Amino acid sequence: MIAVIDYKAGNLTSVVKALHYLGAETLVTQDPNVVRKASKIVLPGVGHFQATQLLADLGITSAVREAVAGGTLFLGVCVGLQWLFEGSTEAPETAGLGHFAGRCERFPATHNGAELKSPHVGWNSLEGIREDSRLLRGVANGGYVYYTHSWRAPLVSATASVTEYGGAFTGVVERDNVMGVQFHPEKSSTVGLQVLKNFVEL
Amino acid sequence: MEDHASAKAEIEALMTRRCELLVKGDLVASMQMCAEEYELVLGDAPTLIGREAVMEMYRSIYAEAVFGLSFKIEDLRVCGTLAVVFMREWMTLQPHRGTEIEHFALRRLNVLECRNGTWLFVRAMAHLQPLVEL
Repeated sequence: MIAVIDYKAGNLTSVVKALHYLGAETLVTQDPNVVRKASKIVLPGVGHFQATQLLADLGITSAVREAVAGGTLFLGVCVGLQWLFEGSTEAPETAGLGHFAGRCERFPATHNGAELKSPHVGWNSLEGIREDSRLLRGVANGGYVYYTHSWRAPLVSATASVTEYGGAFTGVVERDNVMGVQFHPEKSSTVGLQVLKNFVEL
Repeated sequence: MEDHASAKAEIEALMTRRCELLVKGDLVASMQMCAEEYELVLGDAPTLIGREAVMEMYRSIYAEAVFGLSFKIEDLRVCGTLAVVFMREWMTLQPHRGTEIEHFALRRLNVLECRNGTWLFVRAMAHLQPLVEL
């Protein structure tokens, strides 16, 4: 059973529908005990890093920490990926899970002397896909996915794919059982569905 | 521990005012409560960026619509100059007067920032929910 964490923002429907389409059994929950017992966990994007404070308050942060330490597969989407890092300048006082080192930062206002529009919205490509990535199995370099975000995760050793916008940023992060995608797989057509399928089949 | 009671009361009042303005159809005044770079994510639709884009969307789709709107704040968090409001909304919509009334339930996340002493909406995400779940 995949626990889909509901942190009140409500953007769960598309993710859950996609998982059901792939034959997965899901349970939308705010209950830390359900999270602890799940075989897999999905944390959908919530729209703002500050909103992830709710996870700590509900006891979900510690439940996720225990679950992933025990090998449970975890997938964070959008801000769900960012939450895997230590924090974000979007909400400096709110701590992330800290599974990956580094902090998420806003896109710069300019890049190579030209204005850089933020948020980064629309289709962009996945590049530099790590060959050992289980989440991106079957996804080719250059595959297009849908982004909508103003903050980005840094490049780390666990980065499994990058996207270029104002420089390279982590589009996908993956280390063992902990994974995250900055794009929205539920809005990303065939590539997005492939990513979710890979996760469901792990 | 910092007491955010006054900020919370102010933000709750803003939510009520936003609701009243939308029901009244005063789009301009409701959008003045938003930052210039306001971002709106409506379900799976492309993100709207900027007050003007949001106003254009409302004008083009809902120019003649009659709204009913009520809400419940589920959670309101203030952290420094940031506030996050988790809400449920119930909306009735007549695309044009005399047409059938449509009912919607939504979950909405509002993000506000306090700038120069004024709380402004900077981002919102709204997602339709099955009516039975609410």
